[in-house]
This record gives sequence, C-alpha cells and structure tokens, in this order.
Amino acid sequence: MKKRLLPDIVSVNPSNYDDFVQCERRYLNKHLLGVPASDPGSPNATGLLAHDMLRLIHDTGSCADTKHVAGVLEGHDADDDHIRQLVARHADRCPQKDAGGAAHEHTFARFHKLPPPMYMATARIDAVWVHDGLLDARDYKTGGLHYHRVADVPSAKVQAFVLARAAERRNLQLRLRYEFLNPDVIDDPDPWEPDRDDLATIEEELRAAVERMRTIDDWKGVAEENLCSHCVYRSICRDSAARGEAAWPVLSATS
Amino acid sequence: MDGDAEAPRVTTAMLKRADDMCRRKLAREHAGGKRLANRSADMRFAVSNRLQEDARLAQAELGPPRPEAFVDPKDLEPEQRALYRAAVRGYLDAFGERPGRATDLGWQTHLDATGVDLIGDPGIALELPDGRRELRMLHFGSRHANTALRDPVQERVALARTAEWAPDQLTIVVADLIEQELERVTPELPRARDEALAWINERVEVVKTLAADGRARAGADCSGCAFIAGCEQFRA
Repeated sequence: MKKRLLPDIVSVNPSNYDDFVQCERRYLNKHLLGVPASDPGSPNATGLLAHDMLRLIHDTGSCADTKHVAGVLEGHDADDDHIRQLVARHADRCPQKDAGGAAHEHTFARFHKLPPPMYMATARIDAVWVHDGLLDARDYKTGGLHYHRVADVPSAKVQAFVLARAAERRNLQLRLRYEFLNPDVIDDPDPWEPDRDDLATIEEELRAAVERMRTIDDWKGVAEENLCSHCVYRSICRDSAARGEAAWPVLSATS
Repeated sequence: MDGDAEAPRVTTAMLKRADDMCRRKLAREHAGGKRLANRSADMRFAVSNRLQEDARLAQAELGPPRPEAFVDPKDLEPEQRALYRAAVRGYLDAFGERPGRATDLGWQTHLDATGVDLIGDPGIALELPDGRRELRMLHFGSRHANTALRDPVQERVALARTAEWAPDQLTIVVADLIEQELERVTPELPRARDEALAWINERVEVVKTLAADGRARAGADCSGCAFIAGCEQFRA
C-alpha cells in the first residue's frame, strides 16, 4: 500500500509552519519524511537549559527571590554566569508579582474545520500570565533578533491563533511577547495584541498554507545560499545551494 | 500466544505515556486502534520499514546478509534514498559478517493475564547457526539529543513478544545505524522476562483504568490525533 505523506488533519505548530514558510523542502524532509539532520544546526543546549530553569524557578517560587533562584540553579548544575544573566534579564520584565494566574510550558490546541482543509494547530508556550485584563504570553528567546515586530514572525501567527481562543474564553486580551534573554539584544520586538481582523487573517493564512500542502507535488527547496548554508539538510537536499558531505557518522566509518 | 485482533490493544507508547495522554485518545487507541479514525500519515516510516524488510530478505536463508537484497528505493525522495543508503552501510558494518536466518514474529502478541494484544514490531529476529536467538532493534539517527540508545520499555516489550520464539536464550542488539552506536545485551532468562511481564501487566492495568476515564484534554496530544472527529474539546 502506498504510504501517505499528509494525514487527514494536518498538524500545524510554530516550528513546522516556520519551516514551511522558509522552505517547503525543509518542511517535507523534517516534518513529513522524518529524515534525521544530515548536518549540524545551531547549538541550543544553553537555550533549553534556560527555559527549564525558568519553568522550575516559577513553579517553585519567584524569579525576584535571588536566594530561590540561586538554589534552583545550584540544584540543577546551572549555576554559571551566563545562565544567571539570562534569568536576571527575565526577572526585570517578569509580570509574576502582578499576575492572578500562570502556566508554564503549556501546550494549547485549536482546531480549524471549515472552510476546508481541516487542520489542528498546537503551540507549546513558555509562559502565560494573567494580569491587567491580559493573557500575557511569553516566548523566551536566547538567540539573535531577526524581526522587529512579533506580528511579522511566521511562528507567532500559530501561537496567536491557538492562544486567542484561550484568551477569548477568559474574556482577556491576548498579548504575545518575545522576551529576549540575551543581553546583546537591547530591545524586545514590539509585542503583538492581535484583534479580530488579525486573527481572521491568520486563520485564513494557515488554512491556505495547508491547502497548498495538499496540492504540492514537487516540494521545491528555496535553493538560496544564505538559507541553505544553515540548513540541517544542506548536504543531502535535492535542491541545496550549499551542498557538502553529510555529517552522518556512518559515512565516515572506515570499516 | 498470538491472539485475535479484536482484543483491546496496548502499544509501547501507551505503556510509556498513558499517564500523560489525553484519556479520550488513549481510550480509542486502546479499544480499537485506528481502524475507524482519521487517517494519519506514515511516509516517515518509509525508510525504516524498507530497510527492515530488505534486511529480513537478505537473511531469508541461513547465512550472512546478502548485500544485493538491499535495493536502492527509487520510488522514494532523494533525501530518503540518501538515508536508506547510509542505513544499509551501517547495517552491513554492524551485521555483515554475522550469519543467521530471519524469522517473522508478526505484529502482536496476546497477553493472557490481562486479555490485551501487545502491538509492535520488536525488531529483526534472527536464528543463528548454533540455534541461539538474536533480536536486532534498529534506530535511524532520529533519536533526540541525550536520549539513550537502549530503551527499557522497548526491551520489556521485546522480551514479551519473543517469549515463544526464544524461551530460554535471547541476545538483544540495539543499533543506531546512522550514528554508529551499538549495544548488545543478553538478558538473564527466565528472570528478566518474568520481571518484564510483571511490569507490563501492571502498566496494562494503568492503561485500562485511564482509558476508562475517557475524558478529552486539549493539548500536545491533539497534534497528530486520529480521533478529532466528535471530540468535545473542538465542537463549534
């Protein structure tokens, strides 16, 4: 039996939508074919550790409590200057003291049924705070700044789409903020408070993307050197503009 | 021990994740698999399935694997073919000198104690020239960073699924063909299998209890869920 590339209900999340917008072939390789990376990507160990530490710090106390923060970092082998700096940068902007509710590393889901095609959007959100009539959603960033407005980020559209339903149910206004923890980034990009028109546009944009997925038969790569040179499939991609030897260990074996 | 397909099902994923799963999804997968569900995609398994089928063919007769059984899958995308070729190289590097004859263990084993079918491909089962049994559990480079090669739940399931075929002796070889990692373990039988079955039976009872709850919970499990139709979380 011929294998199926797409399910009846396509899953859309911030990561796969971002890949689809940047390069349809990367989306194919990573999210539909499940091909493991053939080339190294950006190291992200520090970012993952910072996210984990912030979740633990808020789950068990306050980021404003320096003794508590030090205890959590020490207890998880994360007590170094860089991580301390990232956490301190967050604490300056944390709304915890004003918040009536919060959730960390929570996955939200929203289903689009009509008009077809159907899709299921999900997004794991780093932190959500309820304060001052807002559902204040934060995405912690430890890398560089690429956009000046959250509204322009493809993955933010998926986040806004799923969060909007949660905000609506609680009669709150959604605010999506990208919180840059890296001290090299002086100002965060403008937060986004999408209105009804924005949300209707997003829903249609995502629907149109899924419709396109269903019609593509060639899944062309962008073949642009500046994008391909950072791609984790640059050595094996059919359309790569930065071809090289795959870094898979098995290919370097001499036996 | 092979039973009818109509018994409730338990998979390795359920044994691992039942406590965190959406109860509605768990209940439906436990009750009947995905026969009446929205169809899911399976192209991501094309390379692993193809390589395992070819590896079984390569040792259909007693002897080392025949390299010519691994045929370039021209119907797949170029990136999948690159992965397939790398995996073949990894497979022959790891097992090319090791004679044996492949046998088919099927996809399920009925567990009498709990009345469920344990579902899943345990790996490539080989009968070695001296009569010993070897099970090859393969990875294809897609493990998350810092994830161990060996998975204790998969190994327990493998012990349960091989009970009739390898009652007294079994060697489990876990290999990541792309990352070139390999571990070989020889469980102490029957003690290891008794412990595995006891653990599985305990977890099956947990699965049954959680599945009986059946309440839907919107979240990470919605992605890829085959049972969205009719879900109370997404009614208009």
